[in-house]
Amino acid sequence: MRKSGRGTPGGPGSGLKPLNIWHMSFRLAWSDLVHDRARLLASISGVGFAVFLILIEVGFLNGIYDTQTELVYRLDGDLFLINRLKDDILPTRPFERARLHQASGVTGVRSVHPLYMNEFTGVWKSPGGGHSHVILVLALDPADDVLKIPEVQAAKAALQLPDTALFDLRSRDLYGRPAVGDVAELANRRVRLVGTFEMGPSFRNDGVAVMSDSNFLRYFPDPVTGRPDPDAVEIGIVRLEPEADLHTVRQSMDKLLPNDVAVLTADDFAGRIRTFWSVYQPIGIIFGLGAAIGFAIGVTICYQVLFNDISDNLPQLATLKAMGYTDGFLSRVVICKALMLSLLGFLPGTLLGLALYNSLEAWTGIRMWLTGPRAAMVLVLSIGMCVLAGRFAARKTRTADPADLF
Amino acid sequence: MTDRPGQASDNWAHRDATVRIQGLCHYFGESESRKQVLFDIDLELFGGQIVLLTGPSGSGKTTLLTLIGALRSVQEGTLEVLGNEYSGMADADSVLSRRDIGFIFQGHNLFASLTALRNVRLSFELQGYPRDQLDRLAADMLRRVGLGDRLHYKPAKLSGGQRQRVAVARALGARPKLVLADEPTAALDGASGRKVMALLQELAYEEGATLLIVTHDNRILDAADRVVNMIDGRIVSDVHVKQSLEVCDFLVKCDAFENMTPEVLTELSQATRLERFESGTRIIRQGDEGDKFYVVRRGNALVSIQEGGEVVTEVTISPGDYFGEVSLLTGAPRNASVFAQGPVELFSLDARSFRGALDRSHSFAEQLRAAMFARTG
Repeated sequence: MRKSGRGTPGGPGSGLKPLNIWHMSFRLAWSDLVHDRARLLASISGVGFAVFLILIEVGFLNGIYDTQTELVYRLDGDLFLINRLKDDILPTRPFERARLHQASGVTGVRSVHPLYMNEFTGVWKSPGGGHSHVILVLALDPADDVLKIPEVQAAKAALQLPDTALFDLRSRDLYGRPAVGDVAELANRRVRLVGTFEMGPSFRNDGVAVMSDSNFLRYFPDPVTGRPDPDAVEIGIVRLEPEADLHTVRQSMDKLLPNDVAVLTADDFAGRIRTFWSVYQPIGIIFGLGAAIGFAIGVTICYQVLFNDISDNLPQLATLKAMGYTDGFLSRVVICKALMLSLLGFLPGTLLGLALYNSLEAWTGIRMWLTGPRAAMVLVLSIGMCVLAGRFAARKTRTADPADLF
Repeated sequence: MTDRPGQASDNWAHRDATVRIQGLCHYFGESESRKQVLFDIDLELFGGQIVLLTGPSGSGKTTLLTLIGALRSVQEGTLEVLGNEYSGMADADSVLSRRDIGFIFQGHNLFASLTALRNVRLSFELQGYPRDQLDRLAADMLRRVGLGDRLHYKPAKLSGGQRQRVAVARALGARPKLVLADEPTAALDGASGRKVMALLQELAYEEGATLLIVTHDNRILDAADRVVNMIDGRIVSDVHVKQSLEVCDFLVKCDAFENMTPEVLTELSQATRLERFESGTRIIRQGDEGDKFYVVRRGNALVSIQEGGEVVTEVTISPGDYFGEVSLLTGAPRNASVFAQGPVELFSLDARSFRGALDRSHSFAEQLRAAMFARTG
């Protein structure tokens, strides 16, 4: 009955391999977790709810970023000129058209194109009902193809005609649902709808229309003079020669132009907008804080679940210690359990979050994307949340004193 | 040549000490509220013994048990368990030391989420057996405790006795040389309790393990080899039950003790020590002061009386006969010498216990006096 070849006390872990220890703690944690189905369900719901909260807040935040920077990434250019003070798509902060001419003189620049935008003056009224509502009008020279939207590029010829426009089908429902061929009203003038495209509203505007620059200048003349004002450019789209170096061109352009305009890449432009929303606007802070609160709630729920579990099993854990299991082992069991909870909670939380994303998109037209990296980030947050709770809860296992069992 | 009982042949089997305690003191609390709970404990426990630790609550027996189990650090004195000196031992080492000790608690403390098999496996996993053998080892151990048909039951589906047997199987999984148990039968009915005790006895005898059991359960007294009683942090008695029983059985067959009440007999047997003498050695010498009373257990002895340098009488005495009572009764020097004829085992009783027995039992006193007159007469 004698056993052979096992370690003596004082030997390194009595021959236990780290892999075995993890295997053991994993198995123990899993059995314990799935033992009480009702409790498991409650635990998963709790953790899932926290994941859901984080996902929603992160979704809102990214929804703002995505929708506000949508236009930037739809512009077909290498560099962009904007008013130095412009920090979001709206409100408009035009700059002098002369800057475009100056910019086009820089070596390496192939072409420079203006994009015009209206301030909150363009009221749109669809035929046959719908509200009269302000719409964002993007105006361009149709020949320039500055918008990377196939439908817009395809409608080049129609846009050249007077009193024509394209309507964004993803505009919010309050504009009604105008169809191609309809004659609507824009800024108190009749406008013929010659096509549609899809871009979507943002937090600043509910709908988008596209016009040619010549039409635009007639619809939105200078409010003071009442005459078209081609000088008020909103965004200058700069395209470079294929061999030109973006960095060099940008530097020379920066040097050449007075500092009332900024020269940006698409990412800089988008970054500027994100900074505006995340730092200067309360909304970014609110959603960021919301995500942090979701995280804190998750830590609390997970901690509570693990803590109760440990409390209920305290004599058993103390027995394990009496048998010679270390505090480290017991901590590992708790951490394993936390990991499992985070993964089990992530799935339903994410599914619920996706369902809400879809509903919100249907209600507001604001698109909320759950991209791979964002899902991964939420997963990391969920794991971090539970492991943090696990580390707190694991301290409780140290109170399991086998001397108290007698 | 003097053996303390408990270290000699058959029931008195001697094995190496598994626990050696010397001058152990323990205190609870700090500075002013510091209270001493153990006072100068000396104790040696040997393999193959079932030792009951009894005493009122607060007597320190639980503290002693937790100290032996390396669940508390030694403050004062020395405590050696299975060859490891505990005093001054680091926490990490005491965790490892515990792996050689089996613990059985009053509560079974089984994981409700694990089957009997997995609960027992926890013990084998800790011992570092290969993973593919763990289930077989745990199943074997459960079969040994009679739960071969309950391997995959969770504790909720087992009776109280079955749960405690799973806990026993878990404790024995480490094949411990020392098992510390706290009221292992208190929560069990008679039959279950006996089953658990039978298992523990089997372990003690087959594996030469020491079982130290804190208990108030009188039903398991008959399984004990030794009963250590503590009061107020001190060991007040240390009775070797099996040996006492044997001594009783033996004494009751001797003429001198036959009318003695069981109570006195038990007391007497508890004070009795076993002594062994090699062939030809002198046990007592004529003319010495008398200090002990002897009963022959095994072998023969030669009683020899000398007068004026001449041996005048020689009598051979055999098992059941006694000697040495005269000088204890009269206070006179030994009136004879006694030699071992071949190896001899004797039960000896010191003068104080002997007189105590006389005071308690008239029949014993009369028997002895009658015999004395007959001999000296």
